[in-house]
Amino acid sequence: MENPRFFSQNIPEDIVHDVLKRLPVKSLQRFKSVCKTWCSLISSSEFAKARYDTANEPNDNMTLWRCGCIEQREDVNSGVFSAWLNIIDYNGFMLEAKSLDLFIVGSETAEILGSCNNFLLVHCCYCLYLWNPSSGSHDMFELDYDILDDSCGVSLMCGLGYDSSSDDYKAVLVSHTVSPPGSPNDDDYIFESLSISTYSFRTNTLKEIDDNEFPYNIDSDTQGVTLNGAPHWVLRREEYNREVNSKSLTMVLVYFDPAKEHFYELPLPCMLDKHSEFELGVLGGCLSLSYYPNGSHFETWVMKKYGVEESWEKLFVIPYFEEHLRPMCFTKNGDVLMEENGEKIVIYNLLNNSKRTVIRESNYCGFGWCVYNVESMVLPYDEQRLNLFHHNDELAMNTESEEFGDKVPIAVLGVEIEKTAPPEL
Amino acid sequence: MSNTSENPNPSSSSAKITLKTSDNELFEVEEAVAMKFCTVKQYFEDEKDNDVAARGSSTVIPLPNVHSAVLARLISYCKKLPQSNAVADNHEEEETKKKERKQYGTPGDLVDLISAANYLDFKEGLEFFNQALADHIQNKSVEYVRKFFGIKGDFEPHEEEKYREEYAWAFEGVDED
Repeated sequence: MENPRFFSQNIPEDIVHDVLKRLPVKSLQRFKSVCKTWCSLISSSEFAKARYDTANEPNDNMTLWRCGCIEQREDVNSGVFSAWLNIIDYNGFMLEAKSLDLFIVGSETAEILGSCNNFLLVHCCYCLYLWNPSSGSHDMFELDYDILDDSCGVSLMCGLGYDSSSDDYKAVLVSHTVSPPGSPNDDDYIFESLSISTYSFRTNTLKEIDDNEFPYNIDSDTQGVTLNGAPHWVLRREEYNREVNSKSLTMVLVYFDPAKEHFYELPLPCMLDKHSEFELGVLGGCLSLSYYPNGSHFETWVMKKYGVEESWEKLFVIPYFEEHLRPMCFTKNGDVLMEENGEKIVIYNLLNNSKRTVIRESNYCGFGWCVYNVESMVLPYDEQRLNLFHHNDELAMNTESEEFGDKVPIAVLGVEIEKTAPPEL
Repeated sequence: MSNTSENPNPSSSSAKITLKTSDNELFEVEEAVAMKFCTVKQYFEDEKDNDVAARGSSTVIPLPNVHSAVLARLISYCKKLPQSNAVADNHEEEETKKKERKQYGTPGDLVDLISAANYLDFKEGLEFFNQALADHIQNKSVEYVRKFFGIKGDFEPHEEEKYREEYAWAFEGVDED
């Protein structure tokens, strides 16, 4: 042990307080066992407030983000649908609802397929939109087929990337089609196809990528999580084992480099059971993986150093759970914004294992979630919060009908920092 | 965030202030630097009020709680202040900053620097060194932290054991003491 001169007994309490409030949740959770005084200090609401205020200082290194959810409302009188983006701020409070009138026609549904920097990739009526909800600007790309047509067994993998070398936003869409059994005529005939395309919003062009470059399985809808301008997915790679003459599927972490227009793999933590189901996210600017080892508890890992296998580290564990959780991002004071059971958004406090619901089930229509960032957001928070409670009540009243309640969202992802550089390797 | 108080060209500054440390060393420092220490500033202004003629003359301000080795470090920190307080907006930058904070000596030195910055009411310094201390203890064990802060654990052994079991994840990946 190195031999520091230790603090004398009379160390001012406010210094201890100030040092503690700079610590991450994991350290605080550990240090609650230092002594009873520290335990009650760390658990106090004053302390939570102080941590929050520290993060609120302009000189902090916290990231700014907003979380958005598309919701479809029906006007009771006219029966006309409209789509809205509910926006949650990085304190975890509902901020506002933005209309998607700009590009929604009639009763068509809109889904968020990805997000990158300030932009969302929205799909609606055979069109892809690159939309900046803050400025309202958008670019449109018309598709000649319905990528979300689930009538014939289409699974879609999607994401949005940014190629800084050409200042271009690119959408990646990979669709895996399996014809339904018994069609067209022969029972044994199963038609399977994989189509990989990228859409450049700068050049307004579509490009097909050879499916030999994509040795992965997509058996359910999966949406990328964008970090450093590149969308990432957890996918299954088929591996052929000669010895036992069988195929096996292994979980891999894959990203799309928007400049090279190629898929690459990143290391998963070596100690993880690679056959589990993982949820991908971005927490504190790092890729995160969450899963339920043995179904007993909920664990979240982060890759502290991008691309470095040894840097995967367990970030937090939630000991008891009933719901299926998907971490999306940290709020300003270190709580975790999560999607729960694919139907509502909650804020989870890791220090006392409590949670509160931000968007209630009744408001949730399941068209897609995303986290995107906004560069500067100096807002009168308290005022905004007042509005939000108001607004929530209003929403609850407007969305009594559960028409869309059972739709599974395909869009959940986290982008926390505006990073325009391509991933470093 | 403003650095306007920082004299861009210290050599041209006229006023110097002499500080006398606990071990009777004399430090002649730029007024702009000395004024960052609110305790010194207060003392200096009181002096000025008492005796107008004292302005510009060689007032010696005694700092009986600060050792020369610590004051030297604080002054060198003051001179680097602008870049130290810039915002780290990505991971690498944050790492660089951590390294920078580490430069100011051993954890034991940090204790002295924090005590001195606290006594001198030197806010930016206190924030910086408190952050350096937070960096230092972040991955430390509970035992180390108790020893470091001179705290006696007052939980019953079985309470503590139970807590460690329940929050085992928080006790993983802790540095060697």
